[in-house]
Amino acid sequence: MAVSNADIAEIVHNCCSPLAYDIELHQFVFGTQPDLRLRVERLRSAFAAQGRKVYSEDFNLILRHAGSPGFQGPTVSVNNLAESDVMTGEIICMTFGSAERPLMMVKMSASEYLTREGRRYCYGSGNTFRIGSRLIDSDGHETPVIRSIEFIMPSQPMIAAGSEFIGNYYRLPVADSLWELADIADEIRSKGLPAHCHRLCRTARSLGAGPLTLLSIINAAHIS
Amino acid sequence: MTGIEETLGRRTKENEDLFFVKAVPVTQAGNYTIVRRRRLSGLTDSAGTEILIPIYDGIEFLDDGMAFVTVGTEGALFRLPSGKRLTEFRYSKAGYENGLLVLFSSDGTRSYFNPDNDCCICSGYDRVSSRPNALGFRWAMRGRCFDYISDNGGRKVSLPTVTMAYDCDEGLFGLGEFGTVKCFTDDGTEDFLKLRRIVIENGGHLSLQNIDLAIEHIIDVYGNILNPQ
Repeated sequence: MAVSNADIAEIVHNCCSPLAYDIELHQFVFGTQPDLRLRVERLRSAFAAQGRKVYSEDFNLILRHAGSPGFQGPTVSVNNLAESDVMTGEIICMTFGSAERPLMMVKMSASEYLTREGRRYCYGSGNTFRIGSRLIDSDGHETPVIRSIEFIMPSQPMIAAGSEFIGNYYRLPVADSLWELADIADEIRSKGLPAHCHRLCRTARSLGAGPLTLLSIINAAHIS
Repeated sequence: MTGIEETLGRRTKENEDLFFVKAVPVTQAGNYTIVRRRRLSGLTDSAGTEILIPIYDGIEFLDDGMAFVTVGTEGALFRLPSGKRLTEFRYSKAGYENGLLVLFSSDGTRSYFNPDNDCCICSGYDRVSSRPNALGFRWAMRGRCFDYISDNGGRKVSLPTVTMAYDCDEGLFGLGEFGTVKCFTDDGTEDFLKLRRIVIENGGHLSLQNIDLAIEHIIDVYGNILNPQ
């Protein structure tokens, strides 16, 4: 994708909609505006007038990546990783033994993790995730051998969606605990409340949580 | 021997031969007096002790106890009161830019001089940061590219792919060609783990500023710029 970060931000600003719960996808997303086709054509003309060509595939890719954590961003592989070196709000993805489905989890607070499926794990702060070794959680459950460890990074479109819809969360340090976000999402689910997306975004901003962290947490908590 | 050295040698000889012609005070600045003999300038201190013999075409006082001395159209930097010459005679003008002493060459290039250690920081750049970071490095810009230069001896950390550099006390940071910020060791090697460590120590978000260019980029642990640009 040969589109600059400024162009990505402009596309997200014009075409994406604020955080909402998508009933069909059963997850929170930064969706698209209802008159998307018109907006895309208008933007494409504006880019063309400035001598820049942005293809339909670029728009599709940007809008897909901006909206949902399901469209995985870039990754960084590591061989071993001390639990204490994982930042609160970071998302790590591990594969085990012969299992095809990776374990993707967000660090919620010191040594506490929330998986994509909404399960909560606690690993000792002295623990190290190491390829070739096994993981034992606080309940004594042991995993098969770790095959790979990756950090999931936010994509540029998602970063643009974050500053557009969450605001300047990056001005604050990331909070030591992000459980408040999971609790709100859980409350929305259990009480059948209408999705309090403003409240979720406001809380994310005050906790210094970015868009990928926010979406990962609230979707996991909403499932559980 | 260069043309200027020959001229200075000849003038020194003539100056010795003219010992009976008294040099006339022309201008006084602080503790120093510019004196002139037969259209050539020299410098004495308040006690009348000769610092520079009158063999130069022009003397201009600078801050930080220095003078810019010219022979013909070429100038050099001298330290006062020792009268020690600090550079070659190859500059057309001296001035200050963002508090840094700049020597301009006739071919348009600039040399930045550190008066604290009498060293030329760098030359051939369009712009240099007005302040070094805590590690003693300052960024230098040439065209759209940046390097870091050490104030101690002028050692250069060349970063050919970097399109923005920052005034950060914790390390050498540069914006790479793909829009993410990287951290470099002082030999120019990218250090992803150091960037991670510094950002985590700062609470997960690090504000990087280029003060002279009024730019602020806030990055995450992966070097992504989070604030709108």
